[in-house]
Amino acid sequence: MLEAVNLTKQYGTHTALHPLNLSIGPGEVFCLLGANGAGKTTTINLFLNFIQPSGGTATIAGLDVTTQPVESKKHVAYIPEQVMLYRNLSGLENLEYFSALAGHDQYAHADLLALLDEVGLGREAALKRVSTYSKGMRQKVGIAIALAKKASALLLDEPTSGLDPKASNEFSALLQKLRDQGVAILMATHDLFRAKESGTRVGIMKHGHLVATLDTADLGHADLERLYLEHMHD
Amino acid sequence: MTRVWRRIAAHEWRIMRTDGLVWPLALLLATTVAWGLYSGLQSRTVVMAGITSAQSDESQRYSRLQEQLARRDAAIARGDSQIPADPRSASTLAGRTGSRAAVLPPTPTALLSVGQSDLLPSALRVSSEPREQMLAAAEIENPHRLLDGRFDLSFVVVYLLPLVVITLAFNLLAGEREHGTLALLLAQPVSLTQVVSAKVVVRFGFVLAVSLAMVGAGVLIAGLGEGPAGAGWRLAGWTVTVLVYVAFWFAVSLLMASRGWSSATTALATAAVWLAAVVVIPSLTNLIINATYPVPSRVELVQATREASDSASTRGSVLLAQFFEDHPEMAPVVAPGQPAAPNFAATRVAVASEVARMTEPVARRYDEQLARQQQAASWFKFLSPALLAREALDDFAGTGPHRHADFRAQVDRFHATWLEYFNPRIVQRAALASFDDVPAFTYTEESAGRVLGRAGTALTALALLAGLCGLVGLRRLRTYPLTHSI
Repeated sequence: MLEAVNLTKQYGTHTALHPLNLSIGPGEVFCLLGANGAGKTTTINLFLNFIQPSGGTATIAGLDVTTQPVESKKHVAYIPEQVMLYRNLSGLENLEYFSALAGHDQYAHADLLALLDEVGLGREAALKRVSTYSKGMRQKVGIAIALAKKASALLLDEPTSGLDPKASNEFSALLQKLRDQGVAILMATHDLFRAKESGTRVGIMKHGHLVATLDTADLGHADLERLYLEHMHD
Repeated sequence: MTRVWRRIAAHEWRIMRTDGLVWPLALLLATTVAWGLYSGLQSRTVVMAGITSAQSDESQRYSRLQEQLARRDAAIARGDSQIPADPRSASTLAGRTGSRAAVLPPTPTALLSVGQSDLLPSALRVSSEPREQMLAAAEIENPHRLLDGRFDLSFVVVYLLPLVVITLAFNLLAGEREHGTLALLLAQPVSLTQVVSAKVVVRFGFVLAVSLAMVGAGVLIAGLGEGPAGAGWRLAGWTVTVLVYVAFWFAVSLLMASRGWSSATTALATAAVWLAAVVVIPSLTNLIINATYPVPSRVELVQATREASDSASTRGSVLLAQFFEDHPEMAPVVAPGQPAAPNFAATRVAVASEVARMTEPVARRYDEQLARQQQAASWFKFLSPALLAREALDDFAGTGPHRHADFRAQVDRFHATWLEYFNPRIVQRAALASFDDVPAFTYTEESAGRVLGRAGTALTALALLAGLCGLVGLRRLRTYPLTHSI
């Protein structure tokens, strides 16, 4: 579903992403771990065609994101680290707009409210202006927007930042559900625990290199932490 | 216009409405447009008053002449010994007494722009007096003074509409990028071009709807006056000019937005373009034209006329003899050996012809310099979209320099016809059969084709500029920096 072939990004002489080869199939959750500036967000931005690759290709559902930018985005949903919404509209109205753009005009208000309820945003909050929302509430709307899109691939950039532990846990359950539905997920995160819990594979990034890829089934939580720290050592 | 595009446009309009900026802006726009129209209406009233007074002055003079004629006829009928002079005599009618009003009627669209109508006379008195005296007020206005004229609708369109456009469009993209919504928006299957074009079209529609609705209402209330025909194409041309000019400023905003600067930088850069295009370039243009072709001295012309007339007067009898040599057909038939009776009227004609001949080179130099200035101005206007728009707006409103120059040329021709008609009759001491025989002036309106050709050039240049900025802006969007992350 999500595939990177020799995907690179350079800013002048600085290489933000060294040739990356990665393939994430349906039902897989690939967690990218690494320090800030390791190239996680760069990878996600390349998949979204927000930045132009210096080399290689990124494909979503077999579509090259640079040559078919609009078509490829029909197949992918995205939750940024900071979900920013239209402040003067309610959470419901924001969800309605983004869903319509994604091609889902068919949702009734009841459907959308149910969806918001599912991600933990009650009806009362859903009808309030987003300018009154906390970061976590906005994040929940962002999750709802991604769910409503019913995309076959999901790009997550620190999606649980700002969520309280309960909401974070609920989000993991949602990811599990999506995985079962056959969605391919690429998630950048700092949360080793969450990566072990939700991920099927983890990749450790450092200075733009994907230095290790591991199946989570093969290792315990302590192993992951030890490995991660080992790699973080210079 | 796809379904998605319409959805973005509808959303954009919703955001604008909830933003709270758009209603004060609409109010400001509506108020300034109304004020501009009011100013145009006032100017039209003043022009009409001038025309009416010139016309009533003429008809009063002629009705007095009619009374004199009636008294004379009565005296003849009674067989009085003292018969009053014939008011139909050519020498009487050719002077001030019989002078005709030459009138440039305002167009139906005159209230859309004051233009030069408050500077250049719309009513002149044509008689045998020298042309210079008649046209004393006719002088080319330089482009800068044209621009900072009065607060009329052209001023609102040329100066203020761009500011409204900039206010609405400076954060076309930077606003959403800085706030963070752009990322979520472009994660959907929409292109940046779709987003930007929807945003521009909604704002464009808003500006046009508010301003044209106000103009429409104003025109309906004030009426188009009783000017010459052509209301339809003049209004259409004016509207298209506003449309193209507003489009130009949206194209500039798009070009600035496509650079990927912050909202603040974009706003500053666009305002700088406004300052250059609307204020600096027209002022510099004016400076250059005045330095290159200095305004000819009217004093020189007046002085030359005075000297010529002094010199000609002292040579009266010589000039008269020369005049009859040049125009033997007018020479009085005198019995051989008899001295000719003194003909003062003929001397006056001879002197006036001499004055005209002597001042002709100075007058021509003056006219030529003005023509060169105007020529330079007509080239320099291509440097500034504001000058281009102003020219087209004034031309469609019929208050620009071109229509007035055409009027002046027609008056000049009429003046020549007048002299040709009266001079032989004055010399021969003839009287006209009727007052109706005095030549009268009617202004022949410029053809629509001529105005369209002229304004069309300015309009085409403006449209090309707008198209160029728009295309470059749209191309630049392809490399628009959506994120600054490394």
